[in-house]
Amino acid sequence: MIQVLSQKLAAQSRFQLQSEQYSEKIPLSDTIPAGTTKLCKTNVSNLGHFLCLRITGHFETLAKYNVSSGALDASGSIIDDGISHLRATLQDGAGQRIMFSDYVPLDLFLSPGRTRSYDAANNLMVKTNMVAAAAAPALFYPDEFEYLFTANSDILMSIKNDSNVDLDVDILFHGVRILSRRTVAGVR
Amino acid sequence: MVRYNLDIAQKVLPYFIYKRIPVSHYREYFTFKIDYGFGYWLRGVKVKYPERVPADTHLQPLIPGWVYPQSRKIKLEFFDNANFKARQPEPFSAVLISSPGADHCFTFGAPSPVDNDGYSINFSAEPAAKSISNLNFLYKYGDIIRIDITGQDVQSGGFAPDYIDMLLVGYYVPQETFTMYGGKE
Repeated sequence: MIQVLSQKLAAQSRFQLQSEQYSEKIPLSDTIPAGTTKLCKTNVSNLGHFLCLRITGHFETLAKYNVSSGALDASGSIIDDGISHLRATLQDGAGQRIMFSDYVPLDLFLSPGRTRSYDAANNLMVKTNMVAAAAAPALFYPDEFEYLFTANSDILMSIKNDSNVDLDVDILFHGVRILSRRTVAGVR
Repeated sequence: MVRYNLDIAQKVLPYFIYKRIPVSHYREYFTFKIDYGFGYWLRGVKVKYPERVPADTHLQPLIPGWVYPQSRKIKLEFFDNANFKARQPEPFSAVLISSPGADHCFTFGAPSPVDNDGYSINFSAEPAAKSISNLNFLYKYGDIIRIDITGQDVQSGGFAPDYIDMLLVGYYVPQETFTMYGGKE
C-alpha cells in the first residue's frame, strides 16, 4: 500500500498527475440463477486503460431447505446456510485470456466474502442438524490482482451457482485509470 | 500517489491456480504443470479444509457423529521440482501462511444437477480473508509446481478431511526470449 506520510505533499504536481491517472473502482454486479452458469461482465469503457491492482467482493449464501429434515428442498424455506455455492473464472475480454486455472469458489479469493441477505426470511436459523451460519464477516482485505485491462475491453466472469436459490454477487476491481497519452503510448 | 509505469504491467499477468485435492493418505501432492513459455511467481496460497473428525466424546458434537477440533495439523512443504529440493527446512503448518478452514466448515451435498467434480461437497463460505501475499517463490519456465501436504489428525492419527481446497495466487511470467515478447528465439 502507499505510504502517505513518506511523501512530500506537492499540490501542483499531484493535480497534474491526477489529470493523467487517478484511482478508480469498476463494479461487477449480477444475480446468478439457481443451478446455472452465467457469464457476467463489466466494461472498462473507452476513457483509458484500467490498471487493476486489487479485488474485493461479496456474495450470498442461500439455499432452500426442508427445515424439519435439514435436507435441501426446492419447496422449502430459504436459509442462509453459510455455505459457498458460487464458483467463478475470470477472463480478460480483450484477449479472451482466462486467468484462473479452474472454477474457484468465491470464498477463496474474495474479501469480505459472504454477506447476509435480505432474501433469507429466517436468516441464521438453527436447523435440526446444522449449526447456524456465522455472521457475515466485516473484514476488508483486498486481494492482490495486478493486471492491465485495455480501454474499451470487457472484464468477464463466468460464475456457477449450485444452490437452488438465485444468488447475488458483487465484485469490485480497484485500480488506476490511465488517461495520459504519454503513459499509454506504445501499450498494445 | 505514485505514477504507475505501464511497462511493468505489460508482460506479467495474474493467474490463480485452483485444485480440490481428495485426501486419503498421510501424504498428498498438489501439482500443477506451468504452461510452456511461462514461469510462475507465487505470491500466496490459500488453503481450506473441513475441520471435522469422526465422533469423539471429548468434544461437543455440532453435527451428530462428527466433532470439530480447534485446529488441524496440516502442513505444507513447497518443493522446487526443477532443482529437486524443498524450498524450506521442514514442512510448516498451513494455518501459518493461510487462513485455516474455519470451525464453521462443514460439508453438504450440492443439489442436482450441478456439482461438476462429483465430490458432492461444498465448503463453508467463511472466508479465507485474512490472508496476505507472503510468499515469493519463482518457478522456472514450464516447471511443475509441487506442494507436499502432510499432517496428523489429533484424534485418529490419520487424515480426517477427505479433500482440501487449495488456491495459489500468483502471476505468470512470460519467457522473454520468445519472439512474441521481443526475444530472438
